[in-house]
Amino acid sequence: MISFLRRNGSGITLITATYFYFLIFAQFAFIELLNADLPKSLKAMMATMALSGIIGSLITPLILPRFGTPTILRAALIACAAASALAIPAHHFSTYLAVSALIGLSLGVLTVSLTASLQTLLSPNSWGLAIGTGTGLAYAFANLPAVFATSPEVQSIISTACVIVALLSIRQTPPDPESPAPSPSSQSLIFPLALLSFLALVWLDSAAFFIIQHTPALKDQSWAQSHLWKNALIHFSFALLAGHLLQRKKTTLVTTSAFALLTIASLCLNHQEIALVGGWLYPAAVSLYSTALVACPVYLTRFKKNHSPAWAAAILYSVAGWFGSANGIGMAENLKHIPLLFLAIAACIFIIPHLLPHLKNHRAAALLVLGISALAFFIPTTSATSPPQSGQQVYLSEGCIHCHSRYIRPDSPDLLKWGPVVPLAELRKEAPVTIGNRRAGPDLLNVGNRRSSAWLKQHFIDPQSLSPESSMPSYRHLFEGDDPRGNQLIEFISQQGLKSLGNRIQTAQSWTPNFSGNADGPDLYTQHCIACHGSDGLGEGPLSKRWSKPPANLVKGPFTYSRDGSQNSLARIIKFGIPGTDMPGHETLSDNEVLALAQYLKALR
Amino acid sequence: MNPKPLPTPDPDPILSGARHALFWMVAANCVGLLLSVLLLAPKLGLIFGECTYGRWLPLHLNWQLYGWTALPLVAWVFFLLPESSRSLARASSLGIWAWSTCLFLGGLSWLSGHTSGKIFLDWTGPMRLLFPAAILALWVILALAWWRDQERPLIAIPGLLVLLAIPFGLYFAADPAVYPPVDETTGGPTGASLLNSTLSVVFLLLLVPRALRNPPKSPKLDRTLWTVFILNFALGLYAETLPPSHHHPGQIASLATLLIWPLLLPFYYSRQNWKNPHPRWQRALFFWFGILVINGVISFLPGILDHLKFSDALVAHSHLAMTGFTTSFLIFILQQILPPSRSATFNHHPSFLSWHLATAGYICLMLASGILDTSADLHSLLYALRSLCGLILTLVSIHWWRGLNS
Repeated sequence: MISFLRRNGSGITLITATYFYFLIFAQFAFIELLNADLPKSLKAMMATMALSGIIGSLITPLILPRFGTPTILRAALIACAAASALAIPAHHFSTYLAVSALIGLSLGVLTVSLTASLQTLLSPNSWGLAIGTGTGLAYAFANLPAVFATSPEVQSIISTACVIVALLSIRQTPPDPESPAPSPSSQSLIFPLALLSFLALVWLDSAAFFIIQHTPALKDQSWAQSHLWKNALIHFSFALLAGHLLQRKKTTLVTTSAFALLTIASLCLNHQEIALVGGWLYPAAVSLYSTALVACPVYLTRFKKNHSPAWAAAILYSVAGWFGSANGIGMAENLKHIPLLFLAIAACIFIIPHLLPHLKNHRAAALLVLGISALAFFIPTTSATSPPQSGQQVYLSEGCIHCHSRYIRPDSPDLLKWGPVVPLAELRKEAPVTIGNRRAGPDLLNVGNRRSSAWLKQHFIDPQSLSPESSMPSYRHLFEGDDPRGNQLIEFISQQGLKSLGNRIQTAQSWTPNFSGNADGPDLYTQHCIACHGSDGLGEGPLSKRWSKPPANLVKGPFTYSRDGSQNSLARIIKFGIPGTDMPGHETLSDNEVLALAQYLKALR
Repeated sequence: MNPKPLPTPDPDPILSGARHALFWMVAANCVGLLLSVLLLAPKLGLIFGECTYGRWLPLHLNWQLYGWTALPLVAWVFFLLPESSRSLARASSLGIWAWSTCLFLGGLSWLSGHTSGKIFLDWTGPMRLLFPAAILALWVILALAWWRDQERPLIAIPGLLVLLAIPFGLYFAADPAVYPPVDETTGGPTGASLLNSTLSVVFLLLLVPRALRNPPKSPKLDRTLWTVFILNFALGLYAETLPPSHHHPGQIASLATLLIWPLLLPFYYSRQNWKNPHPRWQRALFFWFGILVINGVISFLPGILDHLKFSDALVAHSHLAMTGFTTSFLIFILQQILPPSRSATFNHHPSFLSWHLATAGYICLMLASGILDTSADLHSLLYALRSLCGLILTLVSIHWWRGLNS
């Protein structure tokens, strides 16, 4: 460990300081300060910073040979320290403009000169782990609650101190920055491919970052005080992992994993219910690709002869870094979400260059695949804008048949739960037949005689609100806007059952529960009744406003359907619901459970 | 007289078929893993928008059947091509690419909600024409190969005719108006349907030794087994005329006759001159075949079928058939037709063991879920463990695919 630090200490410190400065000051504290003083100038300042960053990146390869890496690094660090120190007293437009330009310029020079000279700062045997450590430490420090949650002024001071420490760590006589880069491995990326891949990654990351930062609920979920330690740990672990893998020449694995995780995280961020998953995946993805981004110019890229890592770094950070980042933020700011089309384009940018070398050897096959794939345009799709279709088509399109049967077996427990039987000959008249072969959920043949349309709609929109243990996905998209598919689907699954409503009522009236053991009434009430009838039975549960009539007040009544209050009449309502109303049955409960629940309801009265 | 040396088949379309098959196995397993996770955490499905669980499932089913299961059999057919058809190797490989492209387009079609709802025959719209057309293109290549063969062996003609029926049969069977006989008491297939579909598998298993060009060791044994098969097949045809209920003794008895095959077939295989003996996969093949047949017959019995029908026990049976038996069978075939350097990936001991243990675990978990009246917590635990088994199966399939491509 000591030997590792002795060999790589200076490089690790510089990487940590540069990333930390970028993350906590340029991307965070400076924007907070600006927002407090000149919120309307944010875009102008960001544009200035990006433009200066590009200029700073592009001039670095020109000035590096003349002044040498240590001098350029020192100058850039001093400029960074000056920018973060000046940002605190800056309250006017012109001062902020100057500071923005200075941040961009100094960071542009710093990142390019640092990454282009890593082979002089890091040991050839442990560069991967060193870059991972530097990157991971920067992210981990930035996520420490004491740093993250402090005021932007303090964050600026910490950033200034950090770059001063880095300044002191620069060796007096570093080796020649133009010393040869490590020989390329088979896992090295050709430079244009690396550029495109990192452009897609940075664009996506910046968009996701902006959305998290500007959506209060997401920000609370992702960067709440309680999550910061978790974030720090994830960042550090994945940066180390990335460094380890990169050293073992697993470049494609690292960048592909980062892209996949970032894509899933972005998709999760579009939905509040699962945004937390995105909050876990996002730091992992960012650390993976950030580590690769540092290593890219020197260690991960294949060039033609007479290449210059400095020029590679300059182009990489100008295009992928500054340009990609600005566009990602711009996209998120304008659209407020990450569109699926963008993810598809990003995936193409990312995947196609990886495929090209393989396709070169299979031109005929590639042409054939493309030719046949052109026919994909003729594949009709079902969406909100599709031509009108039948409810049965919606049932098939959404794959309901894979989890639900539409068949009641004669002389079987199916009858009591989901009856009555419909003759096979009648079902075979449907084309296609929708009997199905699985019941991950209940049989739907007669669902119309035991569930109202309002109940079905609520269940399609949010299944777990009515059946907390259900594994059914949400179909809320079928009901959005003018989309008719949701109602068509409800009409289709309800029509058969509505014919047998009378039969169902008869079955309910002739049913008597058999007692054979105890069950936990209050627990069953919590599981099955609370959503509509409320925790105290007053009919004020969270879903009580969704129905055509408010749910019954189980304490005071009026008790329209169970006036006698007998256990059996309550049990029948629990088991079969009240056909023709929004009150559903609970067909899968055992007799003992129904009786325990009825007992509990009697006690409430 | 020296026997005429057997021609060496061109390995290119065979390898291509194997690679594509393994690719679809990986793809189908990845989708399967996704499905198992979606059942554990349904809200995760929101990230896919309209592509919900029900739209992903056909990809898993159809890619397993038409990708992983069918393509090794296509490769096997190419193995039989005479040496003179070497010039058709390139066209054959392109035919396999066309097949795979249809599977990819089928995936897009199912994900976009365009489906007939016919499980395992879900070819609809343009895909109902396109996929049989790709199969027909492969058949034309086979017919050309036969035509170019100077000997033009007459014995190949019935085989070619049977293969020609596949694209047309598929087009017909995919018609939404066509539906197989149903046992009214269960809503599922009749005993006779199950018997005849299993006999088609037995037919393939009987065909393997000769169709892999293994010289016959005991013609008498061959004749005996084929005679038993024909009798069993005739019984299957007779069972079609019986009342379809699983309570009917005739249906039960005819299905029970399948129990002789887990005894006869291993004996038959042990008496063959395998050019590439792979006892490990051969044992696995008959281990799963035995359990599959026994499980199938027991599950059909009155009372038992009534309890298991529509439940997770059927998922267990499907995985017993696909993950256990079919995979073992196909890998056994691939080991026979691929060069040993290529098929070595299947001999990797840890992956062999992991595959079969994960398969056994998966089947037991789904059987438990189907048979037992589980609480919500236990149900979640079983499903979580099922996902773990699915993850192992996916990783092993990736390992095999990488091994074949390295």
